[in-house]
Amino acid sequence: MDSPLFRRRAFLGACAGAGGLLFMGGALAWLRGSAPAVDGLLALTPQEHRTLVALCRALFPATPEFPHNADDADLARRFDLFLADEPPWNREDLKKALFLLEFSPVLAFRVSTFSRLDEPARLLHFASWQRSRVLLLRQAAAGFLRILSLMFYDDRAAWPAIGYEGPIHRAVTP
Amino acid sequence: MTVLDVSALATPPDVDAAVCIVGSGSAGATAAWVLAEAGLDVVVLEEGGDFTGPQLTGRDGPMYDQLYMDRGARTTSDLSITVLQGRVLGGGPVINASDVVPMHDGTARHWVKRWGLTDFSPEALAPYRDRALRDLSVNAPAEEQLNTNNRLLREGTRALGWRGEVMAHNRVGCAGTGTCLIGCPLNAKRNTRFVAIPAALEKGARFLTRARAVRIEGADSDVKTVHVWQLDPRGHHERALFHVRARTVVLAANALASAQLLLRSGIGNAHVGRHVSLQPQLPVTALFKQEVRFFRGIPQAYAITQHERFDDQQHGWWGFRIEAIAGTPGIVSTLMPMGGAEGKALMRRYPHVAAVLCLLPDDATSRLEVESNGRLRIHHGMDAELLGRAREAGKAAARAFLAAGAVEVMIPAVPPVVIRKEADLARVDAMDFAPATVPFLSAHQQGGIRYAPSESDGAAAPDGRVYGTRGVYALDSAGYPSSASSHTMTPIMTTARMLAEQLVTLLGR
Ligand SMILES: Cc1cc2nc3c(=O)[nH]c(=O)nc-3n(C[C@H](O)[C@H](O)[C@H](O)COP(=O)(O)OP(=O)(O)OC[C@H]3O[C@@H](n4cnc5c(N)ncnc54)[C@H](O)[C@@H]3O)c2cc1C
Ligand code: SF4
Repeated sequence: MDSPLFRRRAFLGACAGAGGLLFMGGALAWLRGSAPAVDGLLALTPQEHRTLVALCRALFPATPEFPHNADDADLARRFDLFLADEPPWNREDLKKALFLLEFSPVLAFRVSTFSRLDEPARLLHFASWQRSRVLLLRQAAAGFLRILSLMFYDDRAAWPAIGYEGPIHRAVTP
Repeated sequence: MTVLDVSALATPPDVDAAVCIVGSGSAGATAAWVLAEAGLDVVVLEEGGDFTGPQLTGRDGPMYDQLYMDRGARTTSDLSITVLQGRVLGGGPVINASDVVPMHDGTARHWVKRWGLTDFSPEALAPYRDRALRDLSVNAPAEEQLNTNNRLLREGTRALGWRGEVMAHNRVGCAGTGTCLIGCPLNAKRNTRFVAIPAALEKGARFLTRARAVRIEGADSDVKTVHVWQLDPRGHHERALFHVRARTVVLAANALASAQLLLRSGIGNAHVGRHVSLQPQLPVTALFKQEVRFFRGIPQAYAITQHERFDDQQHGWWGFRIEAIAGTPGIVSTLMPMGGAEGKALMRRYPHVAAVLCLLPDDATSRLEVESNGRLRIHHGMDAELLGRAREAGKAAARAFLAAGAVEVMIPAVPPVVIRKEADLARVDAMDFAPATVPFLSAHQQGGIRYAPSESDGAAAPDGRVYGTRGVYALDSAGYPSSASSHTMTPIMTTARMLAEQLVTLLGR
């Protein structure tokens, strides 16, 4: 993906602002905690992976009519694979967006990081980005939602719940 | 001669040719055919791979990854518009909707009158348009090939007493798998990949795939050197640099990529990268009680033509046009405005959903910028007037669906705009279209190297030669001063053949 998800300077500025605030409060380490090691990650750090898993679970939870979920689809792993093949500028932008997502609840005066929020709170927080007056946050939300949705609904196991039987060309190829 | 996949070579060798064409799509393949037929030694560079038949698996993930520029995720810099462009041997026609809509005579007349492009008169273009239609095996879809989505749109259009049409297409032997936008597994599209490319190969043209041109050197000297990256087999990473030396370079990489290449090379005047038309498209979905199953059958066959015209003094083609559309689950889901249980519930409506795209001719005020690392920035020029037309188009689409019996119509914005009755249309009027809240699409990019009789008005002469160069030609839609048509494949094949024939004469063949 060569899409400029974020204006670099604005992005760096926002990250620096967020990071600076957190460091000043001496809260970063405490809030972040340590993320468990994850085998075989190509592009994400364990911390970024944890944020991403939290986001994926909020966006694609199991529901009674549609039990297939983000974990079943191994969505965070797919995203990591995707990221590994991205040009460096997009990879960096998306990683910075994950950083910002993780700590942005603090900027909204919550004593929690994104991955520590419960699922409904994470979804609400994500929706606040989607509707934010800050373009950067809307862009990040739209970017994540589009990429992750494409990956989730490309998964065969998601199809029965949406009434799609999959590509039919094998049946009709002479 | 065959197609050479450069990614398979240990070390790609430098190449000499008379003509180097960048891009193998509607323009590049057509030009390669004409130039090779005239006996010129032609090499075509294509950064995509070669995908046909069962390699086109109908799966969103791998197909958007492999068949689209930037894996289908290219956007304008503010994320307002997803900018779709093919990246595969054969270019856009491999993944396009196969609608054949030639340039209207009114638009050609506008180009002559408003832009001084006297070579592009309806009379001059006619034989090349006819040739393009023959090459495309143009035909009309049979009534039984219209799926429910297209029929519902027609029903609504008729109920409102509006004009509409079943669009001609270039499918032969279509079995209605519904995956046109990620390639036809049955090779049923009579497109560049199956017509122009085999013909050009037959005449000796060489096609190199996984070969990305990044710089042209010596644009004002006799022999130009094109710097080319060998890509890895999946086309994501640049591996080794090699060079193509040629006296003539033809830009046919799709409007944006052709202009990008000039900007990266520091070639051309101040008009390069400007006057870009993205022709934004607004998606509108509708929910029906009955199953629609829009994902089967020809995705795009019916259009509401009531609100378009071709003789606008300022723009030629103007107004808006509404066309049925469908997609596989992955791509459809990218239009959905929310996640969580609510998002999943929306996707569960998939078999009952119908959809259209509202095509909006624009003012060609978008512009391009290239960063030092080659990253393309696309700055769109959607202004208040265009957004006003987007609202009108959204309302017209909603009216058509409601007239066809839709339970609910939705513009998938953040927040979603839901219309259940005429009175709800005021909600569309209230939309502010803030960037990154409405999933606009672009599939027909034009401009960026505008043709103009004078260097002060454009970046290339009407014969395609880029001003300030000796022998660098733009033969794709980068030269178009305004939107040629709602669908660009046929106009591009038309003008590329005309300009390539002129080039043959210029090169003394
Ligand atoms: C989803 C979609 C649906 C469409 N539907 C229709 C339709 O139904 N009817 C219609 O008429 N038109 C349609 N179009 C538009 C039409 O297909 C394109 O406008 C047309 O093919 C453009 O022709 P082109 O030759 O300029 O570029 P393309 O056909 O896009 O070909 C350009 C080629 O150049 C290659 N390239 C780019 N940069 C480089 C580089 N630096 N080095 C090497 N190679 C490079 C690309 O990989 C690509 O294969 C659609 C487009 C899209 C994206
Ligand atoms: S609908 Fe027809 S042309 Fe399109 S992919 Fe299926 S068989 Fe091919």
